[in-house]
Amino acid sequence: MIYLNNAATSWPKPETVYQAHDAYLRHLSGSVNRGAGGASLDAGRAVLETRELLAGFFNIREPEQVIFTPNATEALNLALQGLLEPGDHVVISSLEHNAVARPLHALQEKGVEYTIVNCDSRGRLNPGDVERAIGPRTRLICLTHASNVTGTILPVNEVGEIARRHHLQYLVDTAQTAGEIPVDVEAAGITLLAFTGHKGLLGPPGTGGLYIRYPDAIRPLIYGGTGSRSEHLTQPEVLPDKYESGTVNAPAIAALGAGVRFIRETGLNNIRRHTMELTARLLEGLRRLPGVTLYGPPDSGERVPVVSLNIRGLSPGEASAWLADHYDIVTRPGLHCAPLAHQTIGTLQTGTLRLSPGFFNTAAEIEAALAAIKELTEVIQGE
Amino acid sequence: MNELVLLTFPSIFYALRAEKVVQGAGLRGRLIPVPRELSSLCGLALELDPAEAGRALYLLQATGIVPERKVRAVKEGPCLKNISDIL
Ligand SMILES: Cc1ncc(COP(=O)(O)O)c(C=O)c1O
Repeated sequence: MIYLNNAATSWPKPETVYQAHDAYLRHLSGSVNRGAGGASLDAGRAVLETRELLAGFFNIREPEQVIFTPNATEALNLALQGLLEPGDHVVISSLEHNAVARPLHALQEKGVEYTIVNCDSRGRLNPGDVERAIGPRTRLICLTHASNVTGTILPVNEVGEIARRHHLQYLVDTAQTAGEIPVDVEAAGITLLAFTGHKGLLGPPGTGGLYIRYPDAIRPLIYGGTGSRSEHLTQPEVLPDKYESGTVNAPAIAALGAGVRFIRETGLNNIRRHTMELTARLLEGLRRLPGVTLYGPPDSGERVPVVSLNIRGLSPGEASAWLADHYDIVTRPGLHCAPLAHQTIGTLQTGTLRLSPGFFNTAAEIEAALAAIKELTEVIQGE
Repeated sequence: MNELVLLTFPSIFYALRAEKVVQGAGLRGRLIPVPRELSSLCGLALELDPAEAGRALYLLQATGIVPERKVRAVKEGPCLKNISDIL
């Protein structure tokens, strides 16, 4: 199998991730905050370790401000639903995932308003347009760090400077960038950072989180037992307990820690160099194929390893199925949960076929995928 | 006499971090279940050697970890006796 669907979830994972998951699930599955038995304490230590690793990875000063959630979607919901109040206004880009667009759409009923700033047809965002969309009631700018459809990397530092100047909260969705390119909350002035564990961070599904710079401004999404101050019915204010009720997924979080450690040991720049080479090779090969339309910026340096395309005369679903059936190549067709992005690039009706290489793909696999797509275009043209 | 120093914390996160900081500096420190009379905050206390408590407290302060309570106590079998706060 040639797996080119890493933007959905990365595969395979580093061996140490499988090992950590197995070890913690097998031996140390104790609930983290419930009692002081040896095993449950070790689970607690593993969660602390991963929290500290992630804080270092994103240049976050206080590790307790890293809150674990089951995925980026819940992290984004916590940020949006925890922060916004009736009358608040939000500025977002036209590349946002439904994990942002749907909560905001639902919050409209509570009197929250938002403005969508349009990106160009390659997914590029002009920071000046973001600044022009800010009004007197604007409370938050929310931006995806990179599009999961076009791969375009958005100018998070420039927009962060605008947020800082206007004293706004700044939420960045790093689902497509964490583990791919550097993410630095200080450099970008990020006050809320959502991440997912199962993509570039090379961890298992069921992991993700939100960095909360100003916890006083964010209400919890979930209330319940934290193993602390148990005699009080009010939710504790202390972090991370305020936002982490219920048993956390300690084995998966320990495995996520192994993923982050793998990235650190390999070097993010080495990972980036490899995936950029694969992406450049893919883009170059696809550009030579007649009947193939490519989306997103032409230069692989402007994007994460995500390539969207369409083949004339064929729907993305048909193309994806053909590649799977004939070549055992895994791709993803459709709207990728981001209708705003497809509207931006003019593919809302059809969707696109998405190929997303990862660190464990090889140049030979990219060549094989290119040969398969070439053959597919020839089959179509022959008809 | 079996004297010890116990620190309690506002949450398990701080208790675990405190243990890591103290052990990382080569000092003795281990987390034990805390009697409810002492604290109900997170169920864990960091047990320190009284001879090393001063250094441990200094280290924690430097790391920004603030214990909720600092007490001296005497262990008699499973019981803690003569609990007194350290100022
Ligand atoms: C840009 C973006 N945001 C959010 C998500 C949601 O991530 P998760 O699956 O962790 O909820 C995804 C991935 O599906 C994504 O690509």
